[in-house]
Amino acid sequence: MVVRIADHLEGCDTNVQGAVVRDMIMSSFSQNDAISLDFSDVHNVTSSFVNTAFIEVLEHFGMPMIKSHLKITGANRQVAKLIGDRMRIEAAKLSIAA
Amino acid sequence: MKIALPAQFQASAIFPLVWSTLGDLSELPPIVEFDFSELKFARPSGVVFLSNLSRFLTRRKCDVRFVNMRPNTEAIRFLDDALFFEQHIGEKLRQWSKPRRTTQPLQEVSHKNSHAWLRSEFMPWLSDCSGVPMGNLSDLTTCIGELFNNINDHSSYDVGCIFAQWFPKKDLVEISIADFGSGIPETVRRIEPGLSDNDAIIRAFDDGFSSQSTPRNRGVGLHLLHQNVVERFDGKISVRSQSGAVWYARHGNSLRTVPYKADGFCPGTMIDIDFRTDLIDVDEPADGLEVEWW
Repeated sequence: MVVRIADHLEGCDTNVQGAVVRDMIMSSFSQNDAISLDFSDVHNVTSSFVNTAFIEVLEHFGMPMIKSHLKITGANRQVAKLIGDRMRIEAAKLSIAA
Repeated sequence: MKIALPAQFQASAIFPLVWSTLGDLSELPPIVEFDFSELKFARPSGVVFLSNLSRFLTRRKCDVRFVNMRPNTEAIRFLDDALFFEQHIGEKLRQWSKPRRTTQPLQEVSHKNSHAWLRSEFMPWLSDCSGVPMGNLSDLTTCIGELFNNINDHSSYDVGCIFAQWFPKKDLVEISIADFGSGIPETVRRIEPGLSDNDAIIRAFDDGFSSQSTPRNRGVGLHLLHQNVVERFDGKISVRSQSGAVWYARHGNSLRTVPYKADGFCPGTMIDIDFRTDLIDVDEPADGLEVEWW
């Protein structure tokens, strides 16, 4: 499934908006389906959004599931960097804790 | 109670004045009258703080009055053009006052609309002033958005605002954002008791430090602000919160964190940011990227 984020959200700024994306991913993952998120026309994302949309998924399903089932495309540099950085840092924390 | 505003209208000059007249704001007089007769020069931090203080007092049922505004003085014209009086007394002092190209009207950070305003009004204004394309301002948009989220998470009185001024001769933008929340020191000490106000502010900027005021906080916002404004744009961040005062800047190759003793008391938190926009990377922004999992 491909989801164009700008069709679903006015912005990627808040925990509430992050929860919308988190629920889409969780719903796909729970059926073992892959999901592709297209961030075209998204100007920027905040850490609040990323934490809720992706880190909670990471904590629930783990990095191997994300690597095999989640694709993020159409991102500008800020969006790609913040999502990538946050995921890397939180995945490292999880692997240390495990 | 009458409060004579100082000639230099910036927050650092108003904090001692408010402390000496209104104390920690726990007990308020029925009427507070702000006297503008001495006002000579207004800076964004002064505009933001007085606006927040006025809203705070009004919401606490205090009768706030503004007196002796002489519309022919530059500082009063500046405030009028910033729509300060329209927002606080319901009308402009001069009917032809309007926002200047070098300023944004004073904006309350009401969380519902603040992020949309940031993208649709503030960033296009900054892009227009500075000549930096919108696509190269996405990091800054996020930094200010993070501060809006902090205000929403921590401000108990729903009082917060932002004001910005562009200085074309210096290619410099000055942004002040402040709230009337519990303040960084009190929030940090819920997790790490015993820190001084200055040490608590410094701790709040550590990567990954979170007050856990909401379960999803991960403590990234202030660190991101530092990374972008100080490390990338060579700018300066100044923070006042309660009795704490810290500034951050680059000095040569080193990044400096300077706590200092400041007069007065800042209810909530005030963050002043300034940086040169000609140092922002204006290379063609990359779009259409795929996030690479490692």
